[in-house]
Amino acid sequence: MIERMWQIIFWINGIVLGYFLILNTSYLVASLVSFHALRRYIRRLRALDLDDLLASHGVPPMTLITPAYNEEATCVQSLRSLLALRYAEFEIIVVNDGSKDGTVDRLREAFDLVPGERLATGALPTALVRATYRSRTHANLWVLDKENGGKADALNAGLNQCRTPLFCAMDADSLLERDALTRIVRPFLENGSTVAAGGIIRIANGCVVRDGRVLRVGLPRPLLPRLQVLEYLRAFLAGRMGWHAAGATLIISGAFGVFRRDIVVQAGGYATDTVGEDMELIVRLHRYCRERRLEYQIAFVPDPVAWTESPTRLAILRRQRDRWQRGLIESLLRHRVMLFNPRYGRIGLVAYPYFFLLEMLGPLIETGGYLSFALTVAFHRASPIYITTFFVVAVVLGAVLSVSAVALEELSFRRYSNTGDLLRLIWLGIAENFGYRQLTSAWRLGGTISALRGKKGWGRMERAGFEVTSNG
Amino acid sequence: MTADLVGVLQSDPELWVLGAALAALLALIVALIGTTLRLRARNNRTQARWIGLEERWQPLVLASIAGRISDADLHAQVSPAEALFFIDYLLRFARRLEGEERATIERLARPLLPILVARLQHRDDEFRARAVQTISALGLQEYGHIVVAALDDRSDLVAMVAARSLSQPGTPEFASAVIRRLARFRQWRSSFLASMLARVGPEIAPSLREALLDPNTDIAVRVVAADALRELNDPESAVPAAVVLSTTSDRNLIVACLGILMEVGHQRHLPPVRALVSSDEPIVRARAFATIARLDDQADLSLLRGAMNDPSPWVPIRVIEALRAAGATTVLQRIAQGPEISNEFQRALRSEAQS
Repeated sequence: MIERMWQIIFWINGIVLGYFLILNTSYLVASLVSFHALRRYIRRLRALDLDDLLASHGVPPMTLITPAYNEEATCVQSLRSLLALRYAEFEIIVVNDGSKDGTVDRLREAFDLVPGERLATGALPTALVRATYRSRTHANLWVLDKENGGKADALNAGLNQCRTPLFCAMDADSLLERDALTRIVRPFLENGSTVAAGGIIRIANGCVVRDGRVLRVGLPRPLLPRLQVLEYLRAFLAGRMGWHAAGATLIISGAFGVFRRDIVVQAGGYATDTVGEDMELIVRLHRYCRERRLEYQIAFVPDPVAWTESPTRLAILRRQRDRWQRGLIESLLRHRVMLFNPRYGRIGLVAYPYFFLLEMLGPLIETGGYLSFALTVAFHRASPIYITTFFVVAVVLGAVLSVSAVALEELSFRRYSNTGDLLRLIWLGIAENFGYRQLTSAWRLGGTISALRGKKGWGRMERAGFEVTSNG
Repeated sequence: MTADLVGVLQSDPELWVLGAALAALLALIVALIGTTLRLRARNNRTQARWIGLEERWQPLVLASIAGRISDADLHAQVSPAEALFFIDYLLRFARRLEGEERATIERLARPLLPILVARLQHRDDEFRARAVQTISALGLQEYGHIVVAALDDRSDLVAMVAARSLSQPGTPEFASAVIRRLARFRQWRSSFLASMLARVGPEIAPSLREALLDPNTDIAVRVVAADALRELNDPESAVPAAVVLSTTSDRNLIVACLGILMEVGHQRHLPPVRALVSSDEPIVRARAFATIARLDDQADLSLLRGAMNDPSPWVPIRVIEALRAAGATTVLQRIAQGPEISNEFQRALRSEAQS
């Protein structure tokens, strides 16, 4: 009986080793691919004259849809930055999703809102829209005040009013850089079959912000947001860039993505019964286009930036990661028909299996691994040197991946111009492997358990607002 | 101690593999950190060098524009190793200038442009594209033939940079070369290509009309030509648009021709448009109704009210936009008063008329 148990434990160890090997190999490959892709991308940017592009009347008009829920701390500042965006023709629809604070009042005062109705272009089902307002100070600004239905529901309400070929889905608390739309629209110009494009999300904590613009980029002082800066660099510059280069983008962040309105409406809009509506939409768009044999492209563009405020407290961060993991699981399980299905091309054969087996099941495998390794060590069934070496390899490999993300940033956009910040990022790339990574794994495991138990909802989030300078 | 470790490693091959992996990873991380820091140092040096060069060149270039220094004296200040930097500097400088001042910059760049012409053989697409961009910005008149040749480059990026460079205001002589190769850019968004061509100015209109009318031309190219003519507000394109409208069944071309008529058409062009209000395609109906609303000030109110009840929401929206653009808000008010228009729709119409 006991021998049987040890056999099982050794099997688990084997699975964990295999998982570890495949996961880290894919991260390393993604980093290498990203390195090559980013280098080419930067050269390509130099070859294209962005100002010339800006002057073009040929860029398609766009609607920015920003769902807002209890955003009174940041909504006016965020909206001001949106109104100052450099883009030929755009409209903004703020959707107040039944906020319990003074979001609408703040907007009404700041932008002189008056009631106004407009004809709907879509009929996606949503919670009741109580009122529609237009701004008397900005002709391209509209506000929908609706009953609470969640972010996806708010985006659908905005989509129902969208009149432009493209729309940009974003968070109300995010700050877009002035030329972010011009940069992100490029794939739509270069390839008429582009249906979606995502930009990069960066952490605004620690940056100096004035009038909704990031004036100086810096690392936040507290450790928690500082660690997230590194995480985001790794996720976007190494991860998403790599997947994009492989033509297999499966995630576009809900904080900043541009989509073709018609295709999203035809595919049914945002799913309101998942907390991972951003990923679910991308997976569904892949499925929709592949099943109809439509020529399409989903792109990641590394230079248009949306700055976002990251959680500064462990409890909030835990809730965020719990939600992300639930969203991932819900999205993947809903479209499980794609798993290893050649009908869906490289998405079904590579990207989906990666996310399904490594990202979705990862926390379960990792936790099982920790337990079985602990048992193996406790009962002296494996050499301590062997176990220790394995963990040191795991830690060093983790550090290699993080430091390579910092190297990619230095190679490409160099946002952290202070050399002290660069050294701190490198140091964090090593330090995060002692505690923080394990913590995020545990949170993801919590998210997996929550998903299995059928938990819904976003969990409470708090916003402190951006650090601002005086106007002087 | 070392001998013990070696003994342990030799007795256990798996551990040996792990040890080797660890050593390799440690070497890798040290190399990565070293590379990142070297990259930072190099970037800082490049930046400092740029600043230094710009500080040195700016007064010289300004003096040259003012005629206080000869070209030869200025070029003597630029070492061969700095030539590419200097061209790049001139390019950025030139973008802020017009007229005679810009001509001076182009004259200063001219002796150095052969360096870039040689770069057109570079194996990297991006380098060639950058060279095409710079050559055309600083020496299009002299090197126009080279930029035209770049339209046939193996890289789409290079070809597009060449096409955009050749589609500048006041350079209609290159327009036909670009239009002939438009089919190559089929993947690009048609409105973007149209805008690129329209930028050349009204001199390009005859070539565009020719492309629009030619049934042997690729449909996608004809659509781009039609969109460009609409953007140019070319009054002479109304007749070709009406002709094409009555001969084509391609949806995109129909929509593009309706776009032309909406901008520059007359009531006499309306018969083929009226036939399209019963099209199965919502986008065609929307454009057809909008064209009628825009051109026919005596438009049948019941026809436009019918548009308000179209199953596609785009039809009333486009009609409203057309009426608003034509300043016909009273027509909008009268449409809203129709008995077949619901109260909710009437409110929306009034609000749309005001916004």
